[in-house]
Parts: sequence; C-alpha cells; structure tokens
Amino acid sequence: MRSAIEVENLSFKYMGSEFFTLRDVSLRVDEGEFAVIAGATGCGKSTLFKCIIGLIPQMYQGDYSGRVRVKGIDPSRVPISRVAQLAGLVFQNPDNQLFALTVENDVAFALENLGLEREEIERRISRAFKIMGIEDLRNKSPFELSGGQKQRVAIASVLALEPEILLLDEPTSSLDGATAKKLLDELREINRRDGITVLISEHRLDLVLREASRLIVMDEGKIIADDDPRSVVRRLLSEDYDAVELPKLSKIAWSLRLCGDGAIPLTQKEFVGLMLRCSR
Amino acid sequence: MSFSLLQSLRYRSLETPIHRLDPRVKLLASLSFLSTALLFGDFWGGLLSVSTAIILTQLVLLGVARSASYLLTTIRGATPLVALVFILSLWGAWDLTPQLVELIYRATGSSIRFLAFITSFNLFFLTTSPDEFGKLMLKLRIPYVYTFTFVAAVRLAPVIADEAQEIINAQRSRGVEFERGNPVKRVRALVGVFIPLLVNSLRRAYEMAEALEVKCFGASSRRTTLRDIKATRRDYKAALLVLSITGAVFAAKYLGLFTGLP
Amino acid sequence: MIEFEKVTYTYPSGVTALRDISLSIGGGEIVALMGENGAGKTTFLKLLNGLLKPTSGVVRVDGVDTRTTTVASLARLVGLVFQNPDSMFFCPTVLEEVSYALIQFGLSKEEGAKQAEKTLISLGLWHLRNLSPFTLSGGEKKRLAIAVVMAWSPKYVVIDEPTSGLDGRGKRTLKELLEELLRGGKCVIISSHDVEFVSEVASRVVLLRRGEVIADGPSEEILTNTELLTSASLLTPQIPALFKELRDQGFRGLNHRCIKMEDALRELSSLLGRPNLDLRSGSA
Repeated sequence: MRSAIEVENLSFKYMGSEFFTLRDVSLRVDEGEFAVIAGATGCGKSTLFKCIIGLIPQMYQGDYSGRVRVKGIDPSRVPISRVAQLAGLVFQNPDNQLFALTVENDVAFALENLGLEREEIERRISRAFKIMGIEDLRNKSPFELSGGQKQRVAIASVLALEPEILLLDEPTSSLDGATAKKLLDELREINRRDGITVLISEHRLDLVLREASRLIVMDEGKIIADDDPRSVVRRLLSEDYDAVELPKLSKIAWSLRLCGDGAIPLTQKEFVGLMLRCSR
Repeated sequence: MSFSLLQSLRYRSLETPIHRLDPRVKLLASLSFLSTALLFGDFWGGLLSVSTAIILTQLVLLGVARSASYLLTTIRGATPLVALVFILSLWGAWDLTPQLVELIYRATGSSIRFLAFITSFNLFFLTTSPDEFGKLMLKLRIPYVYTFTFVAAVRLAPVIADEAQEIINAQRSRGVEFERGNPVKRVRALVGVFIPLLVNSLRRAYEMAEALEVKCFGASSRRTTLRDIKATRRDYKAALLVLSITGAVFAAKYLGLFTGLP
Repeated sequence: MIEFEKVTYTYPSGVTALRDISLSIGGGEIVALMGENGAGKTTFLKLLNGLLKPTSGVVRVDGVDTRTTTVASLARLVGLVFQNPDSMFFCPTVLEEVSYALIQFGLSKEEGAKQAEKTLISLGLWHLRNLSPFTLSGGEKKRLAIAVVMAWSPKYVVIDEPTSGLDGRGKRTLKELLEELLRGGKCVIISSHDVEFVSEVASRVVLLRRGEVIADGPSEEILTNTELLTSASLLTPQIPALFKELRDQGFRGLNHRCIKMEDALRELSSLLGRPNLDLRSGSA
C-alpha cells in the first residue's frame, strides 16, 4: 500500500501560546483509506489538518518540528496551492469558505485562481457537481441554500481541484442527524467509488465508524490510539475513556460482557449476533 | 431619508428583458442619464424638461423590469433633499431675478434636474446583480483583488448583519436596554455589541484567509474566469439606441433647438 | 407556567416560522424542543423572553402577556442562553462577565460580585474567574454562558442547542448541570437535534416540523417512534433503534419505551438471564 499522508514526530506550538498543540504526532494514512479522527474539543485535530495542508507553518508561525509528507511532498516547503491539488481541506463552517454569489462560481473559484482553461474548468466542475449530486443547485445563490447544501457545495468546490486526498474537519457539526448521516454515507461512497483517500474528524462515531478503516484518537495534542475501529473502541472501553462518545451499542456489549475476548460490535447486526450467541 | 435612498438601490433577482441586458449597456444608459442631467438645466426649466424626460424614461424602463416602485421609493426618500435644492436655488437667485414666477420656474427646473441626477444610476443598480457587477469590474480591467473584495463583501454583509442582530438579542436577554438609561450606560451597552462582533469578525477573517489559501487564491498571475459577460446582438442594438438618442439630444442642444421652447 | 395560545409568528420578510402553536410548560421538567434546522426552534425560544412578540396569539409567562412588557423584565424570569457563547462575551474577566447582568438588574457592585462568585463556584468555573472569557475552551465557554444566565436565578432556564461544540465529557458535565437545575426547582427548556443527549436528559419532547408542533409528549413515547422522528428529519436514538432490531430478530419482552442507557442495560441483562450481573461501569 502506498502512503497518502505521512506524519513523523510532528510537534507544533502556536506563536504566543504556552502549550504545544501537537506533541510528537506520528501517523500514516494509506491510499484509499477512510480514516476517522476523534477527540475532545481542543485535542489538536484542526491543527493537524492545517499542518498536513501546509497552512502551518506557512500561514501560522510557531515552534514546528517533525516531518510531514503528502504524496511524497513536503507541505511546509511548497506553495499551498500545490498541496491543495493533492489534498483538499474542507472546513467546519461553510459560510467562511464560500465567497462567490452563485454556487457555480464557488465551485469554479479555485480553478479560476489556477488559471485553467475554460473547457477544463467546465469539465471539472461538472464532475464535482455530479459526485456531490448537486447539479440542481448550480445557478443558486449561497443565500438560498440550507446548511447541508452549503456543506455539499463546500466539498464540491474542493473536489473540483481533483485531489487524491480529502480532508474534512468536523463537516457535520452544524447539521441535523438525518442530514449528517446522508453526508457521511456519501463521503464513504466517494471514497469507495472514486478512490479518494478520506481523513475526517467527526464526533458522531455511531454513524461513521462502521464503515471506517481506521480510528485515530487524539487527546491533548497526542495520538493515544490508532488502529482498526474495533480494537480502538475496545481499548477505550476498557480504559473507561469518556472524552469521545463511543457508539452506545458497543458500550452496552462491553458492559454486559457480551463479547468476551471477541470483537466489539459496531453495528446492530453484529450486536444481534452476539445476543443470539449469548442467549443460547 | 438617506436610509430609504439606499434601500432603493437593492437589486432584486428577476427575469425581465432589462435584467437580461448586458450590464455594460445599463451602465452606458445610466451614464447617459447622468451626463444629460448635468448638461441641461439653466436654459430650459420648468416641469417640461429634459430632466423630466430622463426620469420618465427610467420609470418606463424600470416598469418593464418590474422595479418601478423602487424608483418611486428613491424619489420619495429624496424629497427632503430636493426641497432643500428648491429653497436654495430660490434664495440664491432672489436678487438676480425680480419676477417671482420666473424664480419659481427656475427653482423647479433645478430641483427636477437634481432629482434626475441622483436617480440616474437606479436603472443600473436595481437591475444588475452584484455578481454581474463583479464581472463588469473585471471587464473594466479593475484588478481582481478589488473585484473579489467587492463580491465577498456583498456575500458576507447579510451574514454579518444576522450576527450583529444575534449579539444584540443575546445582550437584551441579559437585561441590557439599548434605548434607555443615561449616555454612559448606552455607550456601555454598545460596547457589548461591538466587542463580540469584532472578535467574531477577526475569527472569520482568519478562517476566510485559510480557505482562500487552500483554494489557491493568487496562485496564478493569469487568473481565468468561467463566465464572462458577453454582449449579444440585442445588447449592441440597445447600446446603439442609447447612444443615438443621447447624441441626438446633445446635437439638438448645440444646434440651439431647445432655446426656442418655453 | 409559560403558555402559548394559538401563537403564530411571521418574520417581516413574510416567512412564517411558527404556526398556530398552543401548549404550556410548567415547573419541574426538562423539555426538549426538537426538529431539523429551520423547523422553528430558535424562533420558539425567542418568543419565550419577548425578543419576538407573536404575530397573532398570546404568549404568557407566569400570567404576563409578553407583548405588554419589556425583554429586560422578562429576562429576570426567563434566562435565555444563546447557541454561540461568543455572541455574548465582552468583559475582561469571567467574574465581570457574570456580574455584569446582575448590575444591569440593579444589584450593587459588591452584591453582584458576591452572587457571581456563588454561581461560578456552583458551576465549577471559579478557578477561571480572572481569565478572559475569550481564552476559554468550547465547553468552558458554554458553561460560562449558562452561568451568566443562572446568576440572576431565573425560574425558566432556556438553552439553544446546548450540546453544539461539546465533546463527550462536556455533554456529561452539561447533563449533570441540567439535572442539578431541575433539582433546584427550575424549569429547563432546551432546543436540540441531538437525539442521544435529549434521550438521556429530557422528560418531555416537543417535535416541530416546518413551524408546526407534530408531537408533544413524554420523551419515551416520542423518541421511540421512528416514523414520527423520520418525518421530522431526525434519526432514531441508538437504543430504541437497537431494541427495535432485537425485537425484529425475535427477542421478546423488551420494553418498547426504553431510551436511557441504564434502563437498556437492566433490560438486556435480565433478558439474558443474569439480572444480578455486576455491570462494568457503563455510565451514559
């Protein structure tokens, strides 16, 4: 498996801050993965994303040590616009990343900035609209969109750059449950169908975990767990770790000692299977 | 007063022949209104004037654009200013012209001319979307940074207005009264709105700067645009019409055709 | 008692956010207002303390028609905490932030500081008193916003989206805080689309869809009704969803109205025939 993102011994302290926001973080995400980062607020998730994309140390100065590679490229040394074409970052608040007065212009914005030819822009934005299923929003103004639609446009505008990696920082935090679930399912679909590597920070673990290939947990700037989701959930349960909200059925299975040394269930189906075995 | 003047410049998204016109044509028309109103005045006063014709033309065009009521709002908003012009021109010419009728006649002429002058850009602003305006700025070779700033400001203005309202609501909910109390208390109340607004704006500025970076802002010195304003035959015809009418009016003025009229 | 009598609210833009709402909310309950974004939750909350006055119908707070009084005087009874704490803070320190409103309500500086101290201690924020509110973490800001309102001890505590921006730990602290308020005799009203949090704390759910109340009842009843929740664009909470799946797979005798973690553990352990199982710490 080729690596998409490599982070080695990364530490970072914002200028003027007393604490290191990232402390000796090492992480490797392979091509095609759907990796989830979880952690309490202020654990350093957003800062890590900014390091991967090069905003740190290029836009924010501070104590920076360690090594980051995105598809073999050092994001601290090349223009961010180059990193952005390899790894697209979607921020939490869609209102602060949509600038244009029509959806179409918003999705074309980055491509125009790169100076691409009109036919190429047209081709790429059509593809991005199709991937996100928002062709019907094309001529709308951003004021006419709902929260979920705005977030979809924000993702499309990043996908238009045709990155191989998609980074999403809490994309569902302002969405209601049904909308969030739909968006997360779609992201999983994009990952599978279009082969885009996804690294997403998300707190609704019950919705995102069962499809994830990896779960990374951060706490106070450190990675405290990084493995397949079932192993991580088991470990967090055994340590009674409460900063992230684990799926309730995993908690129940653990409390009732349903799984013994076996795998912790993440889906209802798995849970029912365990119940059937235990009640026999 | 000034508020309703500004209100009237609000663009409404509609599908009319006027809205579909190339913004450059509308800019041309508005410029023509402006220059005609500037040039005609002293020679030919009263209600029946070129300025009246300009206002009526705009009213008809905006009628086609289903926005005539907005022009009327502007006119209503401008009434105190127009009245001021009327009084000033009466007062200014008091010693020069002994006849009261002529005095009123001239003052009316100046007032209407002033009204035509300040409403001349209504056609342009009421029927040109901010998006088209941005494209027009690019066409006029204004650097992209300014165009972007303009578009982003239009995009964010309602967001920030909502935020300000939310802050005011939050402060009112903790007992702050903006309309009551002594001046010190009122200033303090405003500080409670200003500081959160400032803090939020700073955060927003940072977040936007980050988003601009990852969207390759300024990456190429040769920025391209997906959509451009393109003039159609219809636009050329309209432009020709505007130019020929303006030309005719100007020619008539310099040939002295208007001096004989009342 | 807060009473809504045929309340309709239409924004000046012509959008009707709430339509013909009639209900009453009394003391000693935690009521959750639920619905998708744009269903009218925030509008409802703003009607409670008079920030908005009904377009038609009447809102009464302890018998007082909100149209006949000011927000400032209603705010003493109804403390409204906004979703984004940053839209509120402007004082140099946490302590001043809390005492500010008290002084607005006519307390002297000393009394205000004393009352603020009491509030901060009870909410576990006393150690932060000299910090600037802007330097606090998300969870601390949220708690401070609640402290600001709690300081003048309103009878009704209203919180818009209390869990937004909170992590697991923050939610647990918040849950304890709300229960504490309830014990102190307050009536707590929250708006939320966080079905998991609501199922752990609320005793009553009012479900809104496009400005109308489509259900109003005990949370055990509403949060277990998948059809109803789906029609309001909400997900079914994890426990009722799991219980339904178990019933479909042939497990009998499971309570249809189970939504809380503790109850679920009890139900399932007795179903498995080990009611006296020493449960591993599985707090909600």
